Amino acid sequence: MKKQEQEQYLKDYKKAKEKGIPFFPDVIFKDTIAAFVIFLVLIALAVFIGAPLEEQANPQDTSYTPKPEWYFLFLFQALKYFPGNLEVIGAVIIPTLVVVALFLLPFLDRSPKRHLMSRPIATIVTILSVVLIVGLTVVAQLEAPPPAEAHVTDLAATLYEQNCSSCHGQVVEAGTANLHDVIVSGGHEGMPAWGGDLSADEVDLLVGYISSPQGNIVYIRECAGCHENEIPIVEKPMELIAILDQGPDHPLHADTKKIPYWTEELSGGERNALLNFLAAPDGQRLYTINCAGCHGMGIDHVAETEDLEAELLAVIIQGEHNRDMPAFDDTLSEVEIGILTDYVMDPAKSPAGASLFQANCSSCHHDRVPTSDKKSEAKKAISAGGMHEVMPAWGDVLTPEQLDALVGYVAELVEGVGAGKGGALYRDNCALCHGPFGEGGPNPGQPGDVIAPISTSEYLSTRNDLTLKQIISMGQPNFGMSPFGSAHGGPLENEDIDAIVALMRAWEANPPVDLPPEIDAGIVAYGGEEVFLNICANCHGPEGKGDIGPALNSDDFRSAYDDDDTFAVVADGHAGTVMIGWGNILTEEQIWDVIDYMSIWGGPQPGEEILFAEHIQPLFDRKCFRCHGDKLDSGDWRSDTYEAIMESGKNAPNIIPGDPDSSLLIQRLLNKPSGGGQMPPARMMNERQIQWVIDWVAEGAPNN
Amino acid sequence: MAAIGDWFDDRLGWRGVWETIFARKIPKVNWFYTLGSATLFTAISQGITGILLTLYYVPTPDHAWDSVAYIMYELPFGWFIRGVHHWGSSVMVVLVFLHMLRVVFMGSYKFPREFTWITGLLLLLLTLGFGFTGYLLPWDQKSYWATTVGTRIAEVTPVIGHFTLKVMRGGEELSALTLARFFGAHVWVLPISLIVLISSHMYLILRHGITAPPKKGE
Repeated sequence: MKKQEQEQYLKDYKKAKEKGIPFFPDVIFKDTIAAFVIFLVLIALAVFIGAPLEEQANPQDTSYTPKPEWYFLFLFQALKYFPGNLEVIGAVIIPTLVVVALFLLPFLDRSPKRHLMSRPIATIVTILSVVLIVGLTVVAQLEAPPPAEAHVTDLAATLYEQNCSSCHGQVVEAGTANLHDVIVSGGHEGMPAWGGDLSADEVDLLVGYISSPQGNIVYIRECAGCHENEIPIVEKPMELIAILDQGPDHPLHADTKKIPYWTEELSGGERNALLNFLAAPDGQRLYTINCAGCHGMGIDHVAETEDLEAELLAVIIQGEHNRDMPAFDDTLSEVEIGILTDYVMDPAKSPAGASLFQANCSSCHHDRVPTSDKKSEAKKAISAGGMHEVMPAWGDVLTPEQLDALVGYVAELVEGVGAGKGGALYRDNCALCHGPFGEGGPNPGQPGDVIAPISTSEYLSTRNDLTLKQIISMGQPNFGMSPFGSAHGGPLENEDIDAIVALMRAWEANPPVDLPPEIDAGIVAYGGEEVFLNICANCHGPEGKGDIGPALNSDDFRSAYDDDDTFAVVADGHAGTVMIGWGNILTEEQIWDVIDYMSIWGGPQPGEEILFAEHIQPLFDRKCFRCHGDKLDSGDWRSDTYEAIMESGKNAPNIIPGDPDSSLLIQRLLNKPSGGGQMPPARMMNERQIQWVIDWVAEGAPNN
Repeated sequence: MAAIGDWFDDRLGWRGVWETIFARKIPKVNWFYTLGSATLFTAISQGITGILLTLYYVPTPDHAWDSVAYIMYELPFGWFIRGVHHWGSSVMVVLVFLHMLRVVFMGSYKFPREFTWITGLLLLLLTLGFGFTGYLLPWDQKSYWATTVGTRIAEVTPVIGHFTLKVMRGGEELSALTLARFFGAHVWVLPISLIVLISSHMYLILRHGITAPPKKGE
């Protein structure tokens, strides 16, 4: 540009300025609008897309496909066209030249022409550059593989690959009873014994991999992201189940980033597969995982044919049908049956059915929700009852290897327990605590305590028949064993006890197991429900309907025993009956938990209207009358009639119908600071009971 | 009112500042001329959100990812601040680039604004530098491996390549030193350079005024 042209430009510019607009406010206004639009765009991007955060950097993971931020992609892409020694051209020379050219642009293009149509070369070069950059970015986006999924190593498959696949190929076909033994000692001609080369955990891992490939897939998907270097093989299925049940609440997971509950994440089949994989199943572990939930520790099966194992195999593969299921259309409404049907179709989708299932089905079906493909069939089965599947067809769930191992174990179980009268009596009365073979197990009455084996030759040779009979007859109340002899209130006559002792003597000759107890009871913390179902239910029935012991769910029981009475009986027992004192065995907290659990039966069932006479007054009688009755009338408030509850005492009104929050009585039940002290003072009502009172007050505290 | 204004003007001379910056006339311009100020706005937004992020961010390999995860998942609105900062970088690159295209197409880089163009180019490079250094800071897989590759590309440079790589990484491998360097560059070196260059850029804009969109034939 010549001097003259420069002066001309400055003159023109001055003119343009004079004809122009003020910077403030005109231009500032436009700028503000533009900034505001950008601001909105940023907020929208942050809220609707957000900033990604991938897994923490792992320098060992060389398989990660790196991808730069998108605005560097065109450079990244350009490099691909300069392979090998040419890389320097794409990486350094071209970018440097472009940058230098840009810096020099005002000095290269010195013509006075400014409009883009008057500068065709500059315009065309710029447009081509933009097209090139955008094009390269697009190509890179299309070519670059999506960011790799978090890379996880399949340790089990690797182990298999290294040790087994050279002979066995991708799949092991051979089905034998105990894969552990086969791997450790070498099963057949040509197969070496791996026991020396592989650790016990590695063998377990291989067994799990071979027998539960589905479990390995679930593991890789759900767990291996964190458990990447070592698979937590567990020998104790109960411990494993406890850890998985607790999920994020388990201490081992305390530091981990939010893991989900596995019941929410996995279907029943996947949970089963995962357990079977991780517990490296042999027969006993398979049984614990798959069968013990319904069958407990013993299986009641009388062989009908010579070949017990074939018989068992058939049952296990095909499952079983139950002809005794009641018709629920008598007891449930159309709506309830509908809800239950939906629940059975897909428990995850209709959580509303869970409580119905719990109330009506789980006493027989336990936690296992029967499934159905056709809604009409499911509905028919529930309404009409009768024959339907109770035991799943395990042939669909377990691999042949697992089935073999399971059948072998169950056969032992049936034979070990079922021999003669002593066996049957033992199974019904003793096996629950002492295990099917007298091998012991966790003491259901005492968390952390393990019942020692009673079938070892050492135990049996140091006790004579009289001692054994006395123990059975009188129990060992200090250890949580009730008396079983009829002379002490128990169910067994003398000849029954003789038969059991005879069975035990048979063990002495040939001890059935030298297994230590498989189950570490220490990790199981029993709450009220578990204590009730494990201990109390043995005599009182799972729903408290009574069996050997009296019914606990009746109005008679509730009016005869308030909660403090119940506590006293549980702690001290009834002398001369099977009801031993549990005070030395359970903690005070556990006994209260059991009493809390039992409070289910006093209240309204889900969906039922809360009635004062039926639910609220009895609750007050049980919880308050001792102090607020006719003997003592603390604070002048009395709990024995509707009027007294509402109006008596110096702080009346005690209840404001329709407004639980403002009602003094509720505040005291909840121990709110505004209430002036907790009631009952020794121990609050449980949440469920307080909720009944709140609901009743919220509905206007009617005297119904 | 005027008296108060005078009182302050006697001491601060604000009227002069006001007249120089705001009460000036400029040629009629179109909406493309807001791209520069929008870029400035984004830069300020990046500054504010960036400062907020440093309150919680820890620039060590042990804690970087955890602190970012904390910002994302536990800190109230942490996800939002990081979201704005993350997207702000992309938006800023786009705006700087569009601003540059505007300048090229309007011929604004010509006399007497050559130095405005050069400071603008330096600001473009700084913006890319911010993007490159900031990308490593979350210390996630993407950060780590993209930076590994990015620094390796620098090694290709003849003669000084390996030296450059070692300077960037603080050694042969990506390590705690790399993270410290990138962090230092991202929050100290680059922002200070940015402030200096933005000031120069703005001074030059005030001095020469904004260009008028050229008419056909000009």
